[in-house]
Amino acid sequence: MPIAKTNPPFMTGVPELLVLRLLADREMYGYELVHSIEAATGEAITLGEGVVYPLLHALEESGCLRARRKPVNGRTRVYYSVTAAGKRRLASVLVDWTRITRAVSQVLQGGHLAATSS
Amino acid sequence: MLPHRVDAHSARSLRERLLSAGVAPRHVRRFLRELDDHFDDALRAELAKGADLASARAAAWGRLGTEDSLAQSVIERPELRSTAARFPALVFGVGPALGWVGAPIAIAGVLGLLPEALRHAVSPAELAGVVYTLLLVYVRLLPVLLGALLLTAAAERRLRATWPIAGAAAVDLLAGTLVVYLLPGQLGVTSSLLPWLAPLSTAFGPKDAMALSHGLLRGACMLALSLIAQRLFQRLRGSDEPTPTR
Repeated sequence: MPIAKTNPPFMTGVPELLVLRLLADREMYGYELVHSIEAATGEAITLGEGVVYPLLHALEESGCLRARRKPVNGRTRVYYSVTAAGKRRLASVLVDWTRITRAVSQVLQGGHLAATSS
Repeated sequence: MLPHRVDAHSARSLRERLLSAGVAPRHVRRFLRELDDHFDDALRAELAKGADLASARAAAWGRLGTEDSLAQSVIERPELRSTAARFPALVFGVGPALGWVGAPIAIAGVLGLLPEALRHAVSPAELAGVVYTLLLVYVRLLPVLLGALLLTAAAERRLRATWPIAGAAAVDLLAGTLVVYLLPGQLGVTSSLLPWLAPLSTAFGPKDAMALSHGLLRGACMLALSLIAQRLFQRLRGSDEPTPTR
């Protein structure tokens, strides 16, 4: 998913992780989700607001999300929630993410030198 | 306050770009509807901050992204492409012909599974009349409707009409050269095409060039009717969707 220019290029895959994680807590519609991501990340991560929808559609297509129309204040919104397959996908992505961030942190803190020299 | 919509020109342009790139119409429709909703929410938020309507509209559109980025974000996801765009020869060419040929075989199979008592609930003469009518619909009306449906589906997806026309023509060729007859105590179907396709076999009767030419003419008329029906349908819908490229 293309992300806002303010986000660095290594962010590939992060929007999917964040979307699955936030929707695992409660169902949301697109606008609500975009602003939840901004709020949850302290605005460190901002998504191009319109481009979140193709990601939601793709996740729904792969069975990770379920969409349903819900009337709210006289308008019908499309709410997304995580399916059982989505929860499994989230767990898998989370494991990968944790492993990678730990490895990167280790390198950045100089831990790799000790591992290489031993 | 009525919901605010994305600028009609931008929405139309985005829709055309997505459909032309093979994105499934259902995804395009929903994406545009969700963009409208998002735009309305963003615009209300800008108005609540004290912006005037013009600058609120500009800010809301800016938050959504550029038309290029929006289009690209959908187009780059192959899972959002329609099956018809991915396999046009199968969906519009081979599939309809196989479906048309296979349908009566499947129906006959289902009828064969019916209990004996149910199958003999109607008299043979009544049954022959019903089957004759159904066969007429099958060989004369269904191919025209199927052709119109294929052309309409291709137009909606902005696909070239080559495969829909080929698929419809194949069905019209088979159907147009079939003749259904009902004589006292005898219901049958003959094909003026089969003897030419199996020249070494006499099982399908003699070759009859005149009957074949009539059948081909019928098939051509049926294809023409499909094209006319598709145009009429398009006009009735008041759609701005273009006729598929030929």
